[in-house]
Amino acid sequence: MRIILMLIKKEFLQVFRSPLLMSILIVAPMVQFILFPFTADYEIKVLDIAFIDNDNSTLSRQLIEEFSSSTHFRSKGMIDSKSYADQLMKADKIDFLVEIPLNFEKNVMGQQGTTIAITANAINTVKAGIGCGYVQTVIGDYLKETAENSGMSAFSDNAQLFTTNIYWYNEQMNYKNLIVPGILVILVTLIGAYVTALNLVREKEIGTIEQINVTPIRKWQFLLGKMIPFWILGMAEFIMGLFLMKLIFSITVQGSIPVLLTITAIYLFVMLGLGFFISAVAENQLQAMFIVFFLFIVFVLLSGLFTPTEGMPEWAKFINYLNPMSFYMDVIKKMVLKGCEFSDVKIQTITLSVMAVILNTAAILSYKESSK
Amino acid sequence: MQSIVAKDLTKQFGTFTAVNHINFEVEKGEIFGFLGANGAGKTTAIKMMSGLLLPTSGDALIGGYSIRTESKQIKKHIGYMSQRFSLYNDLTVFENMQLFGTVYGIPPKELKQRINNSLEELMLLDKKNSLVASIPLGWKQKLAFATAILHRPEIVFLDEPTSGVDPIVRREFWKLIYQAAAQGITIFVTTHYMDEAEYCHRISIMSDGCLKLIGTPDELKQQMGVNSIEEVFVKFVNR
Amino acid sequence: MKELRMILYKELIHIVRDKITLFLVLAIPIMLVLLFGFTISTEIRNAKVAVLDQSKDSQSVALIDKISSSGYFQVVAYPETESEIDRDFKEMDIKLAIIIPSEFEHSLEKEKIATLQIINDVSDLNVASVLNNYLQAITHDFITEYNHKGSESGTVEMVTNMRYNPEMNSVYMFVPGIITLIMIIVTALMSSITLAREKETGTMNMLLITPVKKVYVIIGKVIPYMCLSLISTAMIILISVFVFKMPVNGSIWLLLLLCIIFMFTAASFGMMISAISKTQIDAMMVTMMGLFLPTVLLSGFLFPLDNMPMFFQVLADVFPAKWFIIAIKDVMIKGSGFFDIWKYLGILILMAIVLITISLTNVDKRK
Repeated sequence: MRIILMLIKKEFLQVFRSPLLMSILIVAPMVQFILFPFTADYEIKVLDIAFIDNDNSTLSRQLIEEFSSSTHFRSKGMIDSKSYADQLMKADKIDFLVEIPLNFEKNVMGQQGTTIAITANAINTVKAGIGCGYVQTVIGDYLKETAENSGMSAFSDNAQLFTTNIYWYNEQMNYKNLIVPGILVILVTLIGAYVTALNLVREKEIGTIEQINVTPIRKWQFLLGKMIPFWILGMAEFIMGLFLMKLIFSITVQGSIPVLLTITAIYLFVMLGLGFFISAVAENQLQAMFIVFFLFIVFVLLSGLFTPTEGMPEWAKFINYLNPMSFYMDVIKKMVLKGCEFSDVKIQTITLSVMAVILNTAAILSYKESSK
Repeated sequence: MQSIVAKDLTKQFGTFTAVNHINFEVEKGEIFGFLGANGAGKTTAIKMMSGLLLPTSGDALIGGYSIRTESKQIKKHIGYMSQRFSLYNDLTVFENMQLFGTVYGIPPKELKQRINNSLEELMLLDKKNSLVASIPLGWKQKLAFATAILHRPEIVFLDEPTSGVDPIVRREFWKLIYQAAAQGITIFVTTHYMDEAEYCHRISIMSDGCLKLIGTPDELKQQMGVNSIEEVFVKFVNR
Repeated sequence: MKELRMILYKELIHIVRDKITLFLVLAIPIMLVLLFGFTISTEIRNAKVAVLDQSKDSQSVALIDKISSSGYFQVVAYPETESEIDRDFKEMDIKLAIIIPSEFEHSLEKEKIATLQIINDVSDLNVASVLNNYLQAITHDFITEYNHKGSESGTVEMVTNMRYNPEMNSVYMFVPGIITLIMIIVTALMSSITLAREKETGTMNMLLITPVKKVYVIIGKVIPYMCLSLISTAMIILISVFVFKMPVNGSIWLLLLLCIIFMFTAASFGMMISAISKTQIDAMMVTMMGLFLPTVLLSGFLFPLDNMPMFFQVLADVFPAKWFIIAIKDVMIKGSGFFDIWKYLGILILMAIVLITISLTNVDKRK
């Protein structure tokens, strides 16, 4: 016990004496909290739209007017030629082009049927997909309104099905409410895996670990002595993160905070185990960094923070069962935004615990005091 | 009683044989010098004996324990000072000694006293709370040695402890070695300074992984018919 | 020149000897592209939904059928009361709940109007938007069929044309980003770390006391990593073209020129970083915080720049990634020619010149 306490003290002394580590631990979360929510904004807010009006009728002008009043669109006005529109799209000046056909008004009023062409810049598939939905909604709503106002019999003869939406778990519809808890996850992951992996490999590289290895110290003592300090730091970071979240973004944890802390504690052990396992395998800091970096990107992208997990193929979903971050991200979303209880995240907790045990066992087994 | 008994100790890295069936014995309290050109296999041998490397074949008994099967026991009874300075640069002198002392299980009160005594002997008391990074290399080496024998091991392995330090510090360092030997600690030291070899009770010369010569400095000089160990070495290498 | 060759040769040996690192550098980009290409999709399939059917008549059943057979939704729960819906959101992870009003069939028949209530989980806004779009389309189809208007005559049809990416392939969006990241990591990070490692282990001093010019030492360190990153980039492009059918609409030579220029810019960042950092961890942190993070956040690769506050938009201009991503998208996808992108090339070259000048004046200073 005394040995472990001594090792913990040693680690803390080193952390507090290293200006670099201190700046990572204190500055990094600040930077992330300030930078991410303002930049990592995936929400489709404003779409630049332009029109080619071949009809130039009251109806077509009103339709175009309708877009200007929508909050989703920023109208870039009327365009005369298709080739100019192409140029604008190529230069990223417009995201959407709506083309109203000749005789639009006449055909609509006469119920002849007509076609509106919508062109989207689809390099960004999210923007194009969601934006198209918005465009169609604006046009659809307008036509419905026109039909009702003009009392066109054919339209009123038909039954109509409307939808109204109610928004839960993020009533203000604020994208920050998703990204900010996501930052907490990234923060805890980086402290857990990145900092510890590099720390241990560094001892290997500068040779201090040799001096430890000739002592009668037990592997588990040494690893615990390394783990506990970073575990404490990780928890401190997390709690600091919760405060920043409340302070800057007024996001309050809806669920139980003790449960959230408990699961975070388990998740940290998963990441610490992973970090140590990597440092046992890697020969130098460069390798350790590459491995952690690769895993980190894969974890984040599969975690569902930036892209929906529902669209993934089955095998990718299967890989995701091995991704601790996706379980933890799930827990964070549920606990912070939805206000779930422990029973709702039981499976995630159990999975994370199992991962923690496996990874830490692997770390202890692969850590070699003597080499072959 | 023998402190170290090496029996056909061998280490291969792939096809390269770093240590090739070496046999020797070291008496308790003896200062045993391990000489050899760079790359002769000295560090590999010392790493095997201190439990950092597993031998490919053969065995060695350290304080009666086998390095193959009882390395846990061995670790309690040995001290080790690596070729590369490997105390923590970002800890103070005291913190380093406290860390390693605790790891070896010295009770806190006694540890404090031992550290103070040892620092006093080294005349490092005023540097007690300085970061190790800030003290000169010669002092660092002395500190590393003091730390390696803080837990009063039976045997201490020193891998080129004086490389890169000035002659005055080297002399002081050997004084420390003699003091330790006088307390009954067996000293196993590698070096490539031939004058240091003269200080040893017995020396062995290693080349290409094999142990070529072994004996007291005087014996070896007589055997080769020369006046200094340096000449022994040169003659031997040229052969 | 002979000296430079010697340094190059030495660095090459280092790279080839460290097989694990070499493997990581070459394999990671490929694995990332394959993984992203196959997994990242903005399309959502089989989203879990709950339906609270208050009328349970033939029309409501038909509507539910239509929703669950669309492939977009999977009805996993039939709550009885509204309070049960909350449980379903929390326990079953449903993404939305649909409430069908009572007397649904009757309303459609007699009043010619009915309203569905949809409850969205907007903890992820984009998912909610996408699902709402799907649902709109399904209800539209449903009511059209109900009105026996299969032919759709008399209605206004909307034809959408997905320009540049007709199949809505997400690969288009992130391949330019991945290329950027890989180039920055391999060129800037690797070269700055290995330079820092030489400083840390002291071998740098050995090199610097030799008569070899310092500039050569640095350049000799950087060039091999530039080559590595070019190989990685070529592999990424080959995979995206042959596996994910991404087009190269512009000139392949222009693309190559663009990549080489960006590589110089990235390498000059690496030299700059190694000039200011003493240890590997320093170099790593500076690259991560000062180069990698801004590249991810401020390049427009993942997050649209026009959403950001003005300050960040201006900040984004300072980093090379934004310009490179615009240019590479233009060349690969839009088929732009040299005269469309020369501005961006100029910016990248300018950045490289400024950075190299700064770091070289730094290297020659004796401390």
